Amino acid sequence: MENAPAFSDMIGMWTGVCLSMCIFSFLYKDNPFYKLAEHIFVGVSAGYWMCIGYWQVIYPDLIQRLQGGDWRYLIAAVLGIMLLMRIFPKCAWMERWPLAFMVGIFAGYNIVYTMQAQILKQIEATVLPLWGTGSWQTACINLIVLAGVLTGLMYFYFSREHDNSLWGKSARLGVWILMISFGAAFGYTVMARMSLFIGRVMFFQDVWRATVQFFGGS
Amino acid sequence: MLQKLAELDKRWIFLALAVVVILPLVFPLGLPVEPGQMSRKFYERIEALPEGSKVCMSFDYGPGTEIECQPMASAVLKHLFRRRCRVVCITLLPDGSMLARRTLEQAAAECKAVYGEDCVYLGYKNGGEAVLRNMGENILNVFSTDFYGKDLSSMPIMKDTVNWDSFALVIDWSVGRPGVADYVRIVGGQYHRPILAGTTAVTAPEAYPFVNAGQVEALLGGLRGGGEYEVLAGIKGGRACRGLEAQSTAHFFVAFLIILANVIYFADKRKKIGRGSGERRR
Repeated sequence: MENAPAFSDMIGMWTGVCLSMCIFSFLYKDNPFYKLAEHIFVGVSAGYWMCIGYWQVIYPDLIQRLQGGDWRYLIAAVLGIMLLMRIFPKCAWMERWPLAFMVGIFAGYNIVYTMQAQILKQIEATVLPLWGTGSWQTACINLIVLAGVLTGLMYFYFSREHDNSLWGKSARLGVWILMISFGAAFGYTVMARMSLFIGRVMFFQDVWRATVQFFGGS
Repeated sequence: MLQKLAELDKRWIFLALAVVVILPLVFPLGLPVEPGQMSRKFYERIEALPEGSKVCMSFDYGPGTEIECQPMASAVLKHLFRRRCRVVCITLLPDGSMLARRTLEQAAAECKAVYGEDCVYLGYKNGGEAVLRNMGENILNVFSTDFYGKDLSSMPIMKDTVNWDSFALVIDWSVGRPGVADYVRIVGGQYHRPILAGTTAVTAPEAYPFVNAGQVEALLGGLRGGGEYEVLAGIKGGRACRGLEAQSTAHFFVAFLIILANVIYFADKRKKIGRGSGERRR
């Protein structure tokens, strides 16, 4: 048998249950309990992020390294402080320098690998054989991928009117394909939202079991 | 009747949906879970790992998406430990920090994996893709201590762990950014490491093109992916399998509502057309 939960765990779990119920109460109508839970969430999240940010980033990556005598990290510290200067309107211009530094670094880093991984590789994945694939099912799937990409691109070409010509009809097919893909994506979204609710209900069940265990039940 | 349904207060639908979700969780129906092709591919990829292989696992999800990502992460971790693989865990999201710790501790305790030898948790590091890029040079430059503040250089698992080349496989559990796209771009694109991924259902459509292009070897999507993996890994009473029944009934209910709404819409439209032509005749 599992160990009975501690009293502190019980308080934590029941706080979670109460706050979840407060959030769900919005489904009936907007109310002060919902607002309270919302504000607690924002406050706790900000505090949590701050603590994690300090103890897992600033302390080991900056303070400890400076304490170890690695003075190069002073540059990073100065850039970080400059980023915060937007709080003071007179010194707000200072934040542009570290921002420009970050934008420059990430743009430089990303251009090549984004091109390679998210453009060229994706184009390559649409260049598929339509015959000699070994099975007619694969050939059909390849044809759908090819037709989908081409007609989808035609829809986003706006320099020619989408009239009754072959071009316009292809663009309309592109719209259909886009709609089907949106439908599939929306199906996944419904699945995800249901999962969130299921997760909460399962949490309630776990809390109930823990409570029974806490009070000496089996 | 149809008119009444069309004007139904949406709160009744919320209530009905809640009942449809809660009932199968309280009274399980025993619906079968049949693993799909993608989950099998994921499972076989882990099975193919030689004993002692090192795997990097990134927990890039938060409490809001825990129900979707945690079951699959837990099932894969247990599977890796059973295969005697060694796992190095990290997170690129501050929210994922505690969840990763709990998931690793539970799986390690269940499979009797020794911390520091079979697994280690390096914790959260800010910077997303900058972290991934720096890990490609030297992991110890990015993470000097583990999550608990212990020195990494003294741990056996970190002995021959230098950079991405030290890992036989990289697995990312993600909900967006930083996530699969960053891993594909840097770990796959720049360092040529094989990648497996698990995402929430919302982000799965964004990740499928990477699978199609061969940049991600296999993908587990949402609660369903987790449930299928639990079945494959032989995990009894897993969270994802428990939730999948409720998911199935909820989907049936949503599909029924969509059909009903369409019936009401077309019936209403027909009625209006009928009324219009009747008035014209008069």
